[in-house]
Formats: sequence, C-alpha cells, structure tokens
Amino acid sequence: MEPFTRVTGILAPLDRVNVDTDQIIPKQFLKRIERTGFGPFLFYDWRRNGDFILDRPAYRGASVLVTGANFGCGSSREHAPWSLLEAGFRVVIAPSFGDIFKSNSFRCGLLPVEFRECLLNGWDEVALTLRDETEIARYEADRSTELPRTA
Amino acid sequence: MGRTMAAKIWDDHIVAAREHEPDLLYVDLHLVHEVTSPQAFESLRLNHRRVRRPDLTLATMDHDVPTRGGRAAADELAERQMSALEENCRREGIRLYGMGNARQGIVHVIGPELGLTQPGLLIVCGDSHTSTHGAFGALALGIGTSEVEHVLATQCLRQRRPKAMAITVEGALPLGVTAKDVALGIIARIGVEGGRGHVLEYRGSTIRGLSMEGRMTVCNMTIEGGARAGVIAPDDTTFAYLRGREYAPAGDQWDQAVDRWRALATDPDAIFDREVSIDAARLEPYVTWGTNPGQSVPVSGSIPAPSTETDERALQYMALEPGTAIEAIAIDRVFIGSCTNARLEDLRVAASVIRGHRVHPKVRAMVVPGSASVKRQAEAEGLDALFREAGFEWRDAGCSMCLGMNPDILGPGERCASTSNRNFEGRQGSGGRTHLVSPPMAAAAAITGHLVDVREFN
Ligand code: SF4
Repeated sequence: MEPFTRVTGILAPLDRVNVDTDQIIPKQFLKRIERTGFGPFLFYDWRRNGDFILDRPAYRGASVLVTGANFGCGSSREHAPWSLLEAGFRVVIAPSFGDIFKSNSFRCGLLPVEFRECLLNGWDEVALTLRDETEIARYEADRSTELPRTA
Repeated sequence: MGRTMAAKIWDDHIVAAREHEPDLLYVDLHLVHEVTSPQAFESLRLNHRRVRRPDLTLATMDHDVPTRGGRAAADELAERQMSALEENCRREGIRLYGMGNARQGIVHVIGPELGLTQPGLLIVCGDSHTSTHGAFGALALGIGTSEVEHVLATQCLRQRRPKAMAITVEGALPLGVTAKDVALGIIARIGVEGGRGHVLEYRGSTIRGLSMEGRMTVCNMTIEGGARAGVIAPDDTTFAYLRGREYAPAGDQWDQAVDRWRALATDPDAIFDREVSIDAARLEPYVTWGTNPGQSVPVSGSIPAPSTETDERALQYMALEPGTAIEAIAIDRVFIGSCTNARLEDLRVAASVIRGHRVHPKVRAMVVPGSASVKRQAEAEGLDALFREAGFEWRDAGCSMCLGMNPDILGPGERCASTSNRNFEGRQGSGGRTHLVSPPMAAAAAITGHLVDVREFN
C-alpha cells in the first residue's frame, strides 16, 4: 500500500448526503474476483446520466473528494473504497461516514476525514447546542433545587 | 436489564439524545482554574455570551500559584492568568477561591472537602484529573478549553456514551500497600490505554475498605489508565465524609439525599463491557521506573529489561540500567503533594514514617498540602513542625511540582520520588526524572536518600 504522507491534488466537490455504497459502485460490478478493475464504474449510474460533476474537465484527476454526511452508508462492500482509490481518490472529506465504509477505507489506503457539520455551516459548538435551548430550559426547570449551588 | 452506576448518572443528565449524535448532558458542577479557562472566557466575550449558571460554577487558583512568598512571588505570566481569572469571575458572578482565600487549593482537593462533590452529580473541569471526584459516585469528566467555553455558555456537554469496565479488587491490602499502589497496580495490569472509551467502576472489598482519601487517589489515576472517568459506589464511608460539610445537604434534605445516593449503585444484573479482577494480596508498594505510569515494578524488584522501543527510550531518559535493584537508586528530591496524594491522610501517613528521622543530607524534600484547609488542619496537628524539623520544606497549597508551572521544578537530571500522578518526560522540570510512589514510600526515600521498601524501613 502506498504510504500516506502527503496528498497534493485537485479537490472535487460532490454535494450530496447519504451517498450509499450502491451509488459508489453498483452491485452489477461486484462480480470480479480481483481487487482491481472497479475504477471505471465509480458512480456508474450518476455518470451515465451525463453532466456528472466529477466528469467536468476541472475535476479530472481529482484526488480529494469533499462530500456530505453519512458518506458510504449501506452495504459493506469494500469495492466502494477500492473503486474510489482506483479512480484516483486518496482522501474523502465528509461530516460523517458509514461505519463499515470508514473502517474499510483505513484498511485499503483511502483516508476518510471527518469534518464536523458545525464547521461546514460555520456554527461553533455553543451555537449548535443553543438550538436545543428549549430542551435545556426544560431540563433545568425539572432539576431538583436541592442540588448544590456555589453562589 | 439492570444499569451500571455510570449509566444511571448518564441517563439522569440527558438533555437531548439523537441517533448518530453525541448526547447532550447537563452539568451539575463546573470547576474552573486559571490555566485552562482564560481562552474560554475570552471566546465567550467575543461572541457576546454570558455564563449560563454561575451558581453551578466554582473557580480556584492552583496550577501556577507560587507555594511560598505569596502572590508577589508569582512570575509575570502566572500573575496575568490569576488576574484574568479574577476579572472573569467578577464579571460573570462566579465564586472564586483565589490565592490567599481560606478555601483555596487544588481544584480536585477542594471540591470534595467543601462537600460540593456529591454522589450522582455530573461534574466537569478543564483538567484530566477531574476523575478524582468519581470517588463519591459522581460522574466526573476532564474537558478541554473549547468544552469549558461550551459548558460556561450552555451548562451542557456533548459526549458519546462510554462503555463500562468493572475493576474488582478483593481482599485486605498487605502491610505497606496503599491506595496509590492499588492505582499503580491497576494501570500496570490494564496498561496506559487499557481504559480508553470506558468509565471504570472500581469495586470489591478492597475498594470498599478504602477511606474517601484513598478512593480519591484511585479515581484520580483513572486517566493514567486511559479512561476519562472512574466511579465508586457511594456508601456509609462516603456519607460520613460528606455529612456536615459546607455545601453538603443538611437537615431533612440530608436524609433524602442519602436515599437518592444509595439508589445509584450498579444493579446486580447490570452487564459490564469488560471486567478485570485483581487480588489485593498480590499487590506491593510500586515504583515507576519509566516515563509513563504503566512502567512500574514492585519496590522489591529491579529495572526490567526493555521489551519495546518505548521502554528503551524511557530507560535512556531515566538514566537507568536493566537489572539495577530499585532500592539501589539514589534520589535528589522528594515531592509530597498533588491532587493524587496531598490530603490530610496522606500527610499523616508520611509524617508517621519520618517521625524520629531526618531527611538525608543529599536530598531536598518538600511537602505541598493539597489545599489551604489541609495545610491548616495539618498545622493544627503539628505535622508541619514534624516535617520541618525533619528537614522538609513546608509550602502553601497548589499543584506545585506535580507539573512544574510555578518555580517548584526539578533541575535537569535530578531524580525525584514523587507522590504525584505523571512521570512523563520533563513533567516536573525539563530533564527531571520522576519515580511515582505512595506518600510513605516518598517519605522513606527522603530519609534514606534512595528508593526503599517502606515495609523494611524502621
Ligand atoms: S496537582 Fe497535578 S495533576 Fe492535579 S490538578 Fe494540579 S497539575 Fe493537575
């Protein structure tokens, strides 16, 4: 496996959430017994429809994929990271990943980088939590007044 | 199915829980100190936010306070941190037990001693040894500065539910073996990463037999075994310790509180994700020889042959040869202090060892009480005179040479028998070499000038 020290390359955006492994590599291409040969079928169905973002000239040869939450959810097929790798990707950046996809990726040399949603939206964590103000206030109202106070 | 104690406390504090997200938990007590809070307050200010619950927040100064010469002896940066904390607490209405205050001390010593640390509470502090408070059956978590800001602003914490690990220690402790040795023995067994992702629950007859001070020592070292929190079921020992303390419930509320606290214990049919059992009879006084708290051997042993590169590097840093008897290792300094071992009981045990002896002429030894209150009580018992007459320096309360942020540090190459919790490279001073031991072992080493088996001392 190629050692992971530095990745320099084009960054391609795929603005979708919950990209499942069936989209990454459809089932009809799983019949090979080799670990190779999956690259050309990456995102097969989407590419077939034409004007797929990764096929635009600007993103040709991209090595970093930036995408939405829960990338790689669904089946456990390791063919998904294999096909990404073979298509030239070394890194996928997303707010979260399917669990199995994530551990598969580590095993075959694709680096999944989790980039929290609050960073993407420019929220700090406090702001994120304060969206739960109603719940916090409700909890506080129910909380025993006998618990210790410092002031 | 039954629940573990940690799970019960966790469930009690859930404000919001959503799938695939960490739970949002309510914090009952937020302890604050000068080193990990200034950037949190600064960020609050920049975002035009206020502290949500100053009445559930308490601040003290401990990490970089000078332990002699008063505040005037603080260096410029320490002074800046202390004044920043004062200013932040004043602005936000947070109670502060700062330098010179009768209730000042190491944050993990004063919480329990004020009776603020109570069973069933969720306690956080910007300090990894917050695990100490788990000795009372509280769920106590160390947090980073961003989380400190988050708790200040929301009184909540976002956390993923940890797994549960039972550490059962059974049997009477052999003579000369203390709670510190129980902690070091546990870490030697599970490893410095062994507890990662778990809350440790310490149980069994040995743990039940420990005083609150001893239980705090064990819970304090939880983080050195890789776990963020450790808990011990509250019992009569816990209640006896708490009763009558300043912030503890009183009157009718006391009885109600005790009923609540008794219900916290892990249900008999609860299942732990992992279980470890330790036979107390096999524990000995331990000494660390390396640069992490898992690298320890019984004092009767010798420096082991290195089995990994980490070991080799540690031996090189510590300037030790495999095969050397532990008792043949001469020391330059002794530090009795820190949130691990600077409570009254620790000082009493150390004092009982030095009675009638003098510190070895080549050794510089100091005692740093864990809090101003511990210092006062020790002085009332005459312990200060005993230490002083034996040749120990008797200091004011603070973290001191546990982490060397104030002038109390080891010089390069100096070797120290220390009752603190971390023997990391440079922790007690750049190039300093730390051997973690119990208070009686540290006291005995101060007298003989080398590491020595306290069981054969006297
Ligand atoms: S005594 Fe040491 S471990 Fe404890 S809070 Fe202070 S610096 Fe941290």
